[in-house]
Amino acid sequence: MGFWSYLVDRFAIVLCLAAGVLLSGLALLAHGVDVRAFGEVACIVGACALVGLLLDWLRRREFFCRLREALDALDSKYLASELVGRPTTLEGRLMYDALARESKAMTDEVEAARLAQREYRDYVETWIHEVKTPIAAARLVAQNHPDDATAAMDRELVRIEGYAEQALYYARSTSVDRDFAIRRVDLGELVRGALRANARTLIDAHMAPELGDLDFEVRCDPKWLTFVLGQVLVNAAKYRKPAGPDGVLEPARLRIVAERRLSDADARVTVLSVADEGIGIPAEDVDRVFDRGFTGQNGRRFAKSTGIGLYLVRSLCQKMGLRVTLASRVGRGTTVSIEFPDSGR
Amino acid sequence: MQVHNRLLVVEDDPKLREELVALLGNNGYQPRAVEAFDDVVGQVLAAGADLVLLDLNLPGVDGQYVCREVRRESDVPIIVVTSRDGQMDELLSMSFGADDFVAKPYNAPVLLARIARLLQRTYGSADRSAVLERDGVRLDCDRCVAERDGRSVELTKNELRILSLLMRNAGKVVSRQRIQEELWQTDEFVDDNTLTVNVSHLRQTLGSIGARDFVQTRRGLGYLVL
Repeated sequence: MGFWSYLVDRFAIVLCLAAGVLLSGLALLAHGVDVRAFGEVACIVGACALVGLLLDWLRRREFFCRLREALDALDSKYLASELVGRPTTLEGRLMYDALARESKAMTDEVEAARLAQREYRDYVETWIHEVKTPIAAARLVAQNHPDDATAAMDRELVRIEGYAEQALYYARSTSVDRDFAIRRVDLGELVRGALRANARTLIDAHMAPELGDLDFEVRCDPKWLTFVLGQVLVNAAKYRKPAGPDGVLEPARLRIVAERRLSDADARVTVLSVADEGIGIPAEDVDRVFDRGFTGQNGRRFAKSTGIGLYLVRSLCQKMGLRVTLASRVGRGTTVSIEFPDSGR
Repeated sequence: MQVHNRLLVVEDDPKLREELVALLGNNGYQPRAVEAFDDVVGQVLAAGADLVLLDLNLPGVDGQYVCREVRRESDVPIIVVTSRDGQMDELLSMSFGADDFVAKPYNAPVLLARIARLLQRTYGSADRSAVLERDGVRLDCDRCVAERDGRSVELTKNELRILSLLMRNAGKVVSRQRIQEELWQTDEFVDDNTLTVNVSHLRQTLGSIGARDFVQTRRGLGYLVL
């Protein structure tokens, strides 16, 4: 707030003051007062007015400077007025009080929305836990009575189970609380666990896992990472090369290997890569596969895709502090790599 | 040798309970189920089972409480089977004395593998009858040996797993996928071609004790031991 703009803002007062001095000068002149005496009086009045305005300007300026500093410094900008405190000027106080009421009302609204979201999330989590019991029962019914129909049903149940699991992790990924626990885990055991958990889907798609050196320890939440790996494995099965003209699905190689190397940022990292020999992803889609809701050409052409799987992969990895990348060539296959900050072999 | 195959199922969902009992019965165990949930701890202790499958969400009583109370008086192995799969649930169950934790929905091979592993750990080798016999062929799972007419031959781990699965389901066709799934649960991630090779090796091995046609192929369906 410059002094000039302050004066411009008070042009009525300044104008009236100047007019008052001028008019009283004319009146005094008419009564035969000396022009020089008038000049002195005018100067005194003008100087006093200027000092008054200057003091008032400084007082206001000090407040607004503090306010701007607070706004620049804070991440949660809505807290600035509380930090600066109530100003001393009348308009300032009125404005401040109005703002306080407004922000109180807004805080209440935000709180209500947050509560509603939390309750909804809790409900979704509970619902998913509930639905797992009938899914488990239905799967056992199918497995206890093996025939073509129940086998087909079991396959569909596995899909339902997968979607339920995805919804659970989606709900968890939107949470502001940290409901995961990072610890040191054996990478090989994680990979084998994810393969076991998705055995049915991978076997049905005739996937042939080849495990390379996985003898590393990494830091992550084992459940979350098993889910993340599951998404990647299931994608490999979903987007594998279709059967040849003879209708026979040849086993499709799925190479899973880890290595330690220097990252782009020159830090030691352990990189786990899952490489399939599937249909691959068109170059123009590769950069967007991790976007929420992105389905791409493959999603539309080959399999029903929700555009949630890889989105969850990235957001869960980010929460755990892991970097995930994807490289692909159409007709050659896709490699998903997860980079763990180093924690030694 | 004493056989440790008496399992107790504590699950409040009636359908799931019924199917679990059927599944375990089909796989060589002797399952019993808790039907009323007023004195679960007492029933578990009175049942004298070799292993307990315990659901955490029970009507009127918390599974973790049951777990802790049973543990006070008994060392019976407990597998907690639940749809609550949070980090805390697993840690809590373990701290209350559960031996293993399986999240719902599980598929049958996973659950069976966990049960077999825990029985093995607790009672040594004597889980479900370690010796299977069918049509003159004796399979000794502990020694990894098949015998017929006094002749015996050693099997590889995969051959043993395939043959014991087929013999436990004798008279029924076992699909290739089912065999693969069983092998995957023991971290042998065999693909189609490897399975074909495994089975043909198994046939050759059995051929050396004169039981070449013991394992039959049903094209497009799977394998069968009559």
